[in-house]
Amino acid sequence: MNRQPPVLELIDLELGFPGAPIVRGVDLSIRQGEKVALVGESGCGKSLTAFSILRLLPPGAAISGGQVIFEGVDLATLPPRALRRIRGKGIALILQEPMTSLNPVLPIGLQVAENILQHENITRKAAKARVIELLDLVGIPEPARRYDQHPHHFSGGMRQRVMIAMAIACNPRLLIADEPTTALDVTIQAQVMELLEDLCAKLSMAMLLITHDLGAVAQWADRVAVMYAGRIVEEAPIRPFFSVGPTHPYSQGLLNSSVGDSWHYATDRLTEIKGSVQSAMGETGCAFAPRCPLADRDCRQGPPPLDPVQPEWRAACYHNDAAASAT
Amino acid sequence: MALLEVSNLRAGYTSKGETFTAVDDVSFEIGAQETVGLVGESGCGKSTLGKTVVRLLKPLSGQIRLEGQDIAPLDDAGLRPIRRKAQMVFQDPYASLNPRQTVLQTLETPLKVHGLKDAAARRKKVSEIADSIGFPVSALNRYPHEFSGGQRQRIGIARALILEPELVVCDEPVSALDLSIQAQILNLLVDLKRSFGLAFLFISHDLSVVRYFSDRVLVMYLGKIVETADHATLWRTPRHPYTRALLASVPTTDPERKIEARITGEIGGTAPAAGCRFRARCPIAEDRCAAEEPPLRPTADGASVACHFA
Repeated sequence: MNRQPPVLELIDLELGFPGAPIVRGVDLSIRQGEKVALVGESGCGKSLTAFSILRLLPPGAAISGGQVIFEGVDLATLPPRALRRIRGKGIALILQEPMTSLNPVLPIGLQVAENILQHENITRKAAKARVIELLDLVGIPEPARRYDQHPHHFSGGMRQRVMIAMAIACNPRLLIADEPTTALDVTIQAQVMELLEDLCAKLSMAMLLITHDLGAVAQWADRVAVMYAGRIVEEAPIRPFFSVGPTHPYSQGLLNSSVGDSWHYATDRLTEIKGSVQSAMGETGCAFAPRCPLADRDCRQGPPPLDPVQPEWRAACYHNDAAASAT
Repeated sequence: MALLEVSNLRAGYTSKGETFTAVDDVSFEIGAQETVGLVGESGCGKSTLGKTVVRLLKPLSGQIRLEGQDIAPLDDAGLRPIRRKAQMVFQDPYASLNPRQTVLQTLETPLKVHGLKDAAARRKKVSEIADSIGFPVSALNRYPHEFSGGQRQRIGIARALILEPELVVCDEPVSALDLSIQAQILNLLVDLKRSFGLAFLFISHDLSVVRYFSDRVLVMYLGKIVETADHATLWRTPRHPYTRALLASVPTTDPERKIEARITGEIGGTAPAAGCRFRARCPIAEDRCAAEEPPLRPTADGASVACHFA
């Protein structure tokens, strides 16, 4: 069990638009070297939550409550100049679309070097040497030659490796990866995720992995937090979450919706979660109640708190005991 | 006679005098009410193959026999009566519906095009199909933007089925949808498959979904079919090194089963001039593979594989 001190702590985080919070009551800790997966479907707030760590929010959106503690400092209230020193250095970010994340008119080496030169006082020559080392570290063959090539000379998987090189260039304590392999083929996904796993171990770097792919979560994360309608509804260590099974009815529904090994339409039917997340709008009780097989009157009293179910395992459900025994 | 017989099909794209062959000498069959899955990664040609089978694209050469008739050389007028037999469901539920037409208008259009002049009869057919996708009558007068991705995909499916086709080609029909919506749509497709007696060509990069939905599966790599097998056999005993690597790369929700990236490198843009197209990334490639392209050979159990060593 990871007993390292937290690198990042989200405390009662609330964010959204004025008068319209999208994410509420989020508590999450990420320890040094730990890989935490944040999962959920469209609109659950997982990407927004992750981007809010670096205050990279869409126009009009803001953090309206809570704290984002990184190395003892609250990023939510840090002046912009100080925040800039942390972006790309203490905390780095890689995005989903490697096709569009790189500047098409500049050689990739220069783009990776830019990150280093922003944060460190070294010469261009030294930065270039460092970039070539990084490109080698992320598995790009002939790094010295490819330093001068433009993004269109690289495939999707290779471009994502360049993005990773850029992200780890200043040895961040935390890497936020937003659906890093969704746009890549499955064989390339395996390569890229293994690379990230390897780098986390080598550099003692923590990772917040945003994804909708439960298989990827089972393979490459240490802990998982499931979000629904702007709140974390379950948080658990990986092995028990998948082997014993999740506690929260939404997490269970999600896992059952993904096609199991050796299932076939002739003999197995996929379990559906009836309805859609739209039913959560205006709901004053538990947001999942309109779609939940266990819902009763108690569920309308208010959003359920994230209560411990076991050590290191929390679920936000008034029927935690019933749900646990049903799995 | 199979419902669909594709023989030596070549399809691709021509620009500035140069032709890029995305589908290179592909042959396969689909029987009545059979579901054939088609898997492969980017650049393998599966989408091009799907579009060519329903004649959204004109093939470069080869035959496409639908109920015995070769539709490959037909022009638009010749294709018109055929189109009701083979329909398509697209990947992007946001791009595949006309935003300025109501659901009713979208579903009526195929009926009008194919000569159903009686408005009342059209209305009845639309109501029936709307019912089969779980849509109330009140939904018919609404516009696409009023619906979610999953609901729009249902409309796309209804549009494909309203002419009661024999064959439906689905090109990544659930890839753009959330996990819980995927389950709903897949269940719907299974129900419709049974009640309408449909044959499918189901194209997807998601191996678990293909395995679930298909009777038989074709694996493509750089324009060629490299392996075919029924759904259970392909997963139990994959023969082609690419199929093995592909299946081994799929992360499962069992944390005890750690997968390993089995192959290095990526699909190159173009096929090599000679020999096996997979050899650059193949763990068991030898000299013979560079000189001689392996043909797709049938195996004892009804499968087929294109590899010198399988």
